[in-house]
Amino acid sequence: MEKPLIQIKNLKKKIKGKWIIKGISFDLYPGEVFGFLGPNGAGKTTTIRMMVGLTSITEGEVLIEGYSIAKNYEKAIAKVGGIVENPDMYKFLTGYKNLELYARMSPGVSKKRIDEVVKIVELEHAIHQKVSTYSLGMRQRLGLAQALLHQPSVLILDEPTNGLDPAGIHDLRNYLRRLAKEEQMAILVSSHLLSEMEMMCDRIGIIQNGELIRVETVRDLIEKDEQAKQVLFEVEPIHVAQQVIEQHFPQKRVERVEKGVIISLSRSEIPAVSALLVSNQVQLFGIQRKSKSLEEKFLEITHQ
Amino acid sequence: MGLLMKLIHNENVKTFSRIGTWIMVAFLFGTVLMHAIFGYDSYKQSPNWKAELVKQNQEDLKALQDPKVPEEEKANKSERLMINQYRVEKDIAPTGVQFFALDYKMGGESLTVIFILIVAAMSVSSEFSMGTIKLLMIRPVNRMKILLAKYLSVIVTAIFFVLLSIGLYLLMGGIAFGFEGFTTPYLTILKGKVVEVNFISHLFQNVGLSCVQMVMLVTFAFMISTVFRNSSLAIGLSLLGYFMGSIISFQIYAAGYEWMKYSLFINTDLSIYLDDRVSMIEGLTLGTSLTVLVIHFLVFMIASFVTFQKRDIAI
Ligand SMILES: Nc1ncnc2c1ncn2[C@@H]1O[C@H](COP(=O)(O)OP(=O)(O)O)[C@@H](O)[C@H]1O
Ligand SMILES: [Mg+2]
Repeated sequence: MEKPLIQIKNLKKKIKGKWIIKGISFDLYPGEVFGFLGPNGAGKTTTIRMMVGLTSITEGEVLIEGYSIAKNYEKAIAKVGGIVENPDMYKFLTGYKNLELYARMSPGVSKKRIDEVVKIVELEHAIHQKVSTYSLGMRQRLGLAQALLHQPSVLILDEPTNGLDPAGIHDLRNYLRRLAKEEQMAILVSSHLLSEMEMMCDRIGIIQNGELIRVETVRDLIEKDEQAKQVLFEVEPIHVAQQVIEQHFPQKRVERVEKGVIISLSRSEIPAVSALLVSNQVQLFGIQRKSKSLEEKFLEITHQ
Repeated sequence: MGLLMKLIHNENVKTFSRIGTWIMVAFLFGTVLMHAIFGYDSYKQSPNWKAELVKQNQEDLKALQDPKVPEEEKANKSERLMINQYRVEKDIAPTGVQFFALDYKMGGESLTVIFILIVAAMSVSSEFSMGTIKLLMIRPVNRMKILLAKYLSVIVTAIFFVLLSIGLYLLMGGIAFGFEGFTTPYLTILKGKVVEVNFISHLFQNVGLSCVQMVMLVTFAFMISTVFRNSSLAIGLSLLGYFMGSIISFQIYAAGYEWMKYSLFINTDLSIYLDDRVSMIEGLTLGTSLTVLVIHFLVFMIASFVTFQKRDIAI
């Protein structure tokens, strides 16, 4: 396996005598987008603050390309681009002036590079306007632009989908996937909303009450999901469909609804049922697996 | 440009992009203008100055011999008399621009100090209140360097405001009372004798000495704002120090608290040591005053830098 770009080892944070983060460990590899998911107050931002050196680490360590963020801060942070909590920038300056400020703080960021990142996040039209005139979505893009300026190998984005409309989320997903694949970056994205993460991330870590309770690839999360689910077959004629299914699957209960029939099936049973319907001249218009979305699954996991 | 220079440049960009800074500049302009307009009659010199001074000198002489006039007033009058006699004798006309520009201390200076203290107090705390501290700190730059750049930028801004203020006084004074006063010698008393000095260098010596107090106050406001992340507290305390510091300190000293002579505000006015004079307070010399200032400066700086380095940024 490749060498991880980030290693988090048994990270803990105690604030005012209370353990907020209780020992989190995970690694991030080049080319992957890692979703850091948890309900509000789970400890995502607190973990991220420690990862980028904004707050001290009570116990454990964070290594970025092998450099400890606590002991070798400048070397470690030079590889990181990030947004923590909100992309707060100087509102009385234009987007471009903001980027210039950050460009001066990292070695070797040219004017050309500023223009490049502005283009990547598609802010060309507004970059010379004051940030005070930006929507939250535009500020998120500007936040992403400053994170990319110095061509880091690691991106750490705290709730970057906040304030984005569906089109904005779609764009963000595309940039992040592209950056991960083309630049071989390791990207950590935190969120309390699963729905967006499902298509953005390769792996997901679920954090709750300061503990990482599960780390899995998105595919595993979905595919492990072999329990029976309600499946809606949009069919016509409905009564024929019901008859055929009840004949072949006598143990199943078939429910008739306006558009078709609903049966409780596991994922692997679906092809057999649809083949059966088609071979009996039932017109099949659609199949909806009332699959538990990642969202429901997430709720199930975190509310246990 | 070295990294530190770039960081200072960044801070200057922030300060001078704020509308508030330019409102301050406008205020300063307005104040100097008002000072020139409403003070016009008192600074304006009459072409008959010689006859008038001769008359005033006679009155001053009389007052000096009058036992009812208090000693302090006599000291002032005797200095004035010496200078004015010298004027008449050597035919050196008084010039309005000189009196006007030196009165910077009574008009523009307080405003300049207030503005500078606001800038110093906002420097760190506004990054926290705007939330920008997070993106400022996640850079490959040592925290110490960021704070040092902030401090130095405040000092640069202070120099800008002082020079602007003096420049406005000279410009408006010149326009109102004539620019020839720039080159007329300034008369002052040195070791009991009237001497002619270059006016511009005398002005800058004066301003330079008053900057000592300003730097101390700026450093104090900067520390309060860094330690408590509260700009109102920093502005309030440092302005209190500016307006009341020396009065309060002197009163505490006069009430019998001997150690107060080592307090900050008793030692900020170094002009008392000019021309071989001595402090009114026993045991204070230029050396002790400078030591007191350096110690305060170091304490303020160490407090700022240590808290800034250690602080958890959790906003
Ligand atoms: N400075 C602080 N002082 C006290 N409690 C804090 C502080 N920062 C965070 N917490 C607590 O830590 C927990 C995690 O917060 P946070 O990391 O912001 O969660 P998330 O980003 O996942 O929503 C919350 O319960 C919050 O109340
Ligand atoms: Mg958060």
